[in-house]
Amino acid sequence: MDRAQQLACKTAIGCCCIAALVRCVPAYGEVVLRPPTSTDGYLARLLINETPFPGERGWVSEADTKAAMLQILWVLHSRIAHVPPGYRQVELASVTTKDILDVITAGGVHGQCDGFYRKDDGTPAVVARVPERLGSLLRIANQGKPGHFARLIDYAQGLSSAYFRGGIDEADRFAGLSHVGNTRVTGRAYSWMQDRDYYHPGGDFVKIPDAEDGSLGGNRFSTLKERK
Amino acid sequence: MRMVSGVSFQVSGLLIAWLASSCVTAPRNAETPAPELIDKTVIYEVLGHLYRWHLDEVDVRTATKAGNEPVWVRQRHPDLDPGDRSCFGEMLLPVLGVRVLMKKADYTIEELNTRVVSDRYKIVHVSRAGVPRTLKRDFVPVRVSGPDLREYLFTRRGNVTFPDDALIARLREAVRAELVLHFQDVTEAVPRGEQVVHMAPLSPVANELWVFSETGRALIRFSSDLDLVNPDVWEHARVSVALWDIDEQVVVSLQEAAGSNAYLTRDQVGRALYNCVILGKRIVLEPLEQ
Repeated sequence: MDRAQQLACKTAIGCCCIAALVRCVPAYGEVVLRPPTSTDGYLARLLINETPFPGERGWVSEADTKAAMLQILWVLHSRIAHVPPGYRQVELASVTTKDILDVITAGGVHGQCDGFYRKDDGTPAVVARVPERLGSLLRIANQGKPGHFARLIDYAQGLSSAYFRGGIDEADRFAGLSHVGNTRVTGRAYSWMQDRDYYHPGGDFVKIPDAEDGSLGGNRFSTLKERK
Repeated sequence: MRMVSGVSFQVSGLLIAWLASSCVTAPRNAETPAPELIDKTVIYEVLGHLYRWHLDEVDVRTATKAGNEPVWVRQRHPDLDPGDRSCFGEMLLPVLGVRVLMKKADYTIEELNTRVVSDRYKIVHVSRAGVPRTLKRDFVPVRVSGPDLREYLFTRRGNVTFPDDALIARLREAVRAELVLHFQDVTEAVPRGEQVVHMAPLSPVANELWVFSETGRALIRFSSDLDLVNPDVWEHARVSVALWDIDEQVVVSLQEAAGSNAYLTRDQVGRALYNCVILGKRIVLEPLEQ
């Protein structure tokens, strides 16, 4: 083999090695959220803020956290689109509106959704702890091969963006609920709260029990007493 | 350990009266829970935790009137991710409507190459709910020895355990960081000078720690699926933080803020303050403005 042939051979071998290396190191797309100033970015941040990620209190599984995100979205939507007979929207949501961001921010910084509010100029805002945790989750999600963190953040953003495009595709698991114990209820969930020790969620809210999957993502969901 | 008169002997006696001696008898179709869930020591520790953090005068009165009732226990099997070998269990006190969800974690956070594993069941949450009678078909009643439980509660009524110096150092940083974040969002001026906080004792059956900021007027709860003494919790920020402004986020009843997830009841705050200030440890932090 002459010198030129040797060089060509080495070059070919080198190219094969580089190709193999590239094939062994796949490129993962970066996990990102839409900007907090966008409606779907803001909503996605709420869904992430209210649900546990691996290692956090309340973590059960990816499916459980996704289910919680979905049901939280249903609560927000139901406060607009499924106000039960005998109720006024303001009783459920502390606001009268068709805008889901109004539902989220109602009541100020310690309103219906703790930490999510509107500034004096009307701009939706969040308390400092929200981006602090989110930054940590995104850093973890973008480490190496996509796992739970990446999929959960993508799921939250996907749910949120789809909602503003056309609504919610997945079913509301509480839509058909008619009784909790001996209490007739409206069905659907209209509030969520961290699952902790309190006697009563207030108003005509009725805690949905474990038998009806009322606890998701460390949150307890509540429906409403039926009013005649 | 510092002895503080906390749990009264009389209340301990009422708890014992309510739990008489017997044995575990499983209903015909009930799965026998893991031994760790029906272990006497675990049940005593859970009851001790409930007494410090959840039970009130009404509960004691209710329990007294009900007489001897067992603790009901069952294993739970939620759908988990592949490779997750965590175990879940539940304790039920039907007379009080108190349910305790417990978890013995065993999974890996792949992104962090961190193993989340507990050597024992820990409380995930305590909740109040009506108890349908059908639930007892799935639970196993556990009776405990009255004299044993009385001795356990009485001799430990003021016992407190605090984190070691290394964990306290991390908590100092974490509390300070949370207060700095908090004061970015409020109109009140950042309190000047040294910051006084009160740290509640650790619980052997819960991965959570409460801190009351006296100068910041805030209650902070740190919690995790990992044991808080595990340095990985802090290194990878796998600790959940909840902060409540006690001037703005306390109501007597959630009836006053129906539908909101932003409030604590005065009862809840009172119990937290008792644990932080009376039973807890006073710590001074560096000024927030530094």
